[in-house]
Amino acid sequence: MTRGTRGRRAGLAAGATLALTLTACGGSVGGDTGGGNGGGAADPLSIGLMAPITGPVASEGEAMKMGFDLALKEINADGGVLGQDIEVDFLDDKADPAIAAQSANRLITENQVDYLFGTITGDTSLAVGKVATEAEVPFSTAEMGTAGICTPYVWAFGETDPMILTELVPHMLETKGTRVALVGSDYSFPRGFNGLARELIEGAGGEVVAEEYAPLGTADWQPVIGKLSSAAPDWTLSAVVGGDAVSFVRQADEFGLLATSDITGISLIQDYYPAMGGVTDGRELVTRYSDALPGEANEKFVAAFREAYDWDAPIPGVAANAYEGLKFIAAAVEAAGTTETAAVMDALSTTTTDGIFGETSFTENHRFQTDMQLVRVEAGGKYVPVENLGVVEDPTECR
Amino acid sequence: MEAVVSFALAVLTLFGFYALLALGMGLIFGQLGVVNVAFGDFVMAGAFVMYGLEAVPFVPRVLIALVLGGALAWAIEKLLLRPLYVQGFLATLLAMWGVGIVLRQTADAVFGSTPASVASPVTGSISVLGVQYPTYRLVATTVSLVVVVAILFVVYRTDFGMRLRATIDNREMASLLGIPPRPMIMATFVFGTVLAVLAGALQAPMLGLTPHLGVAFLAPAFFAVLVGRPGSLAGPLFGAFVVALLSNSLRGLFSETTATLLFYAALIVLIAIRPQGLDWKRPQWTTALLARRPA
Repeated sequence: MTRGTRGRRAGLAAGATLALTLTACGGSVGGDTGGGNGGGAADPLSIGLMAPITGPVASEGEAMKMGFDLALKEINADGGVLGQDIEVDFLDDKADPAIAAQSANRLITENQVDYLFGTITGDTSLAVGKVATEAEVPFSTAEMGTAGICTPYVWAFGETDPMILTELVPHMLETKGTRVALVGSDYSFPRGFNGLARELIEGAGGEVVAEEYAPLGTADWQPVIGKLSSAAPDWTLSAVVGGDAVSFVRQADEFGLLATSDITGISLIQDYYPAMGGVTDGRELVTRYSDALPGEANEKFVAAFREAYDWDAPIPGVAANAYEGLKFIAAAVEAAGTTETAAVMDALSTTTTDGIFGETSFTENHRFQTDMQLVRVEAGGKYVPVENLGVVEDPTECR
Repeated sequence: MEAVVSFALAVLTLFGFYALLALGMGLIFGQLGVVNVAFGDFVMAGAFVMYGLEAVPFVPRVLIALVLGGALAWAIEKLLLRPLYVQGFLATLLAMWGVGIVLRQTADAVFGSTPASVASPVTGSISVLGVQYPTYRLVATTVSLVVVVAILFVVYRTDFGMRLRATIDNREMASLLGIPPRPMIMATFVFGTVLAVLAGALQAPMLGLTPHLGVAFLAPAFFAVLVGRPGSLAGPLFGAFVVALLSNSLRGLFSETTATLLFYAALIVLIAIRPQGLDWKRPQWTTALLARRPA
C-alpha cells in the first residue's frame, strides 16, 4: 500500500465519520447557566424567541414562529403591552440542546430579555428550562407535550400527552377494536406518549400487540411495517414525527397496513397533511386546534394567518399554540402592570383568556388548559371537529 | 416461505437504491479522490426536483432531474473542485461539505421545511410468489438494477469504459496513451452525481421529503464503498449488497435503533478486519499532478 493510498483511506474514513456525525440527531450537552435579569416596571416587555428554523424539525419551528409573529404584529398594532411595543430577539436553536442553552444564556445576559419563548424538541426545551430557571426568567414552550422540566419558571402552552390520549384511547378501543400497535420516532416524546397510551390501553382492557421505534431520519419503514402488519392490529397509534411521519404513513399505505388497520396519533396532525397524498382522509385524532373551530377569535386568526403567509394548507397546531401563548403572556403582563418576574408569574397563574381555543388558563401544575377536540380529517385537509371533548385534565404531578 | 420472499424483496429493493449510490460515490472517489459528503444531498435534490416539477409527467420529470443534476455537477467540478485537486482530499471534502450545506439551505429556501411528497406514478401492489408487494417499489428497483447492469456493460464492454478504467487505474499512463484526463474527470463526476440524482428521483414517491433527507443516505453509501471488494468498479456494488443484506437482517431481528447501532458497529468491524478494503484504486493522479509542479 502506498502512502497516498493510506492517506486516501483515511480520507474516506474521515468522510464516513462525518457522515455518522451528520446522521446522528445532535449531541446532547447539558445547559450552562447564566446570570439573572430582574426586568423593570417602566421597560417594554422584551421576549427572547428561540425556534429551530434549520435542522430536522424546522417545519415545526417555522410554524411556531409564524404564529408567534402574527400575534406580535397584532398586539403591537393594538398598542402593545403596558403602552409599549413588545420587543423580540430571535435566535435559531437548530434543535440542538447545546445551542439552545447558549442561545438562552445570550438572550438573558446580553439582550436582557424578560421572558423566553420557544424551542420545539424536548431536549432543547429541557436545556432552556434549566437555564431559565437558574436565571429566574419565565420560559414558555408552544409545541405539544410538556417542556420536560417542571419548575416555577416554566409555563408550557402545548397540549400534553394525557390531554391528547385520555379521551382518544377509549374512543378508538370502542370504535376500531382492542388490538393496538404503537409506533414512534425514537426519542423521549414519542416513547413517553406511547408509554402513557399503553397504560391507558391496557387499563381499558385493550392489548398492545406491537411497539416499534425508529431513529429520526429513517427513510425505509419496510421492516417496521412488516412487524406491525404481522401483529394484525385493529388500529395503530403513531407518534412518528416530521418527514418520517410522511414516509411511515405513506409506506404503511403502500404495503397495505392501512387497509387492514386504522391509524391515529401525532403523525396525522395538520403539519404533515399536505404531503400525505390523502391517505389520512377519513381518520380521526384528538387535537386542541383545528382551523375549523367555531368562534370569532379563530375565524379572525385563520383569515389573518392565511393572508399573512399565503397559506392554503391546514394551519399547524403549534402555530395556534404560539399565537394564543403570546396573547396570553401579553394579557398576563398587562394584568401584572409590570415586566417584573414575580408579578408576571403571579399573573400567569391567575390570567384567563377567551381566545381561539375557547377559555384558557394555567392549572396549578402549569398545564395550559382548554377544550380538546375529536377531529376527523376530510379530503382537502379539512380537520373537522366531530366532538368538543371539553377540558381534558392532565393530572400528572409536576416532576 | 412468505417471510423469505418478503425478506428477499426488501433486500433487493434496498440494494437497488444503495447500488446506485455506491456506484456513483465509488466512481467519484476512484476517479477524483473526492470524498463526496454532499452525495446524500444530491439524492435530496433529485427528490425535490420531482416535487417541484410535479406538473410534468413522471418519466420526463426524471430525465429533467438528471439533466439538471448533471449541469449542476458540471458547474461544481469546473468551478469548485478543479482548482482544489492539488490541495488534497481534505480541501475537496470540505468543499463538498459546503456544497451539501448550500443544497440543503437552497431546498429549504425554495420549498420550505414542511414535509413534501411526490405522487407515485404506479399505485397498487402485485403478488410475488404469494407476497403482495407495492408495484412502484418493484418498478423503481427494476429500473435501478437495469441502470446498474447498463453501467457495468459500459465500463467493461465499451471503448469509453476502457478509457474510464484506464484513467482510474493509472491516469498518467492513460494520459501518455492519448486519453485526456480532464474530460474523463469531468465525465465521472457528472455521471456519479447523476446516479445520486436518479436514486433520489426514483425514491421520491416513497419518502417524506425534507431538506435534510439526504443525510441518512450518506453513511450507508460510504460504507458500501468502504466494504467493497478492492480492485474493481464492481466493488461498491458488492458493498451495497452487503449493506442492504446486513441492514435488513438486523432490522428484522432487532428494534430499529438497536439494529442501526449494530449495523454501524458491524460495518466498522468489517472494515477494521479488512484493511485492504479500500485498495481498489491507487491514487497515482495526485502524485502525477504534484510531480508536474515546479520543484
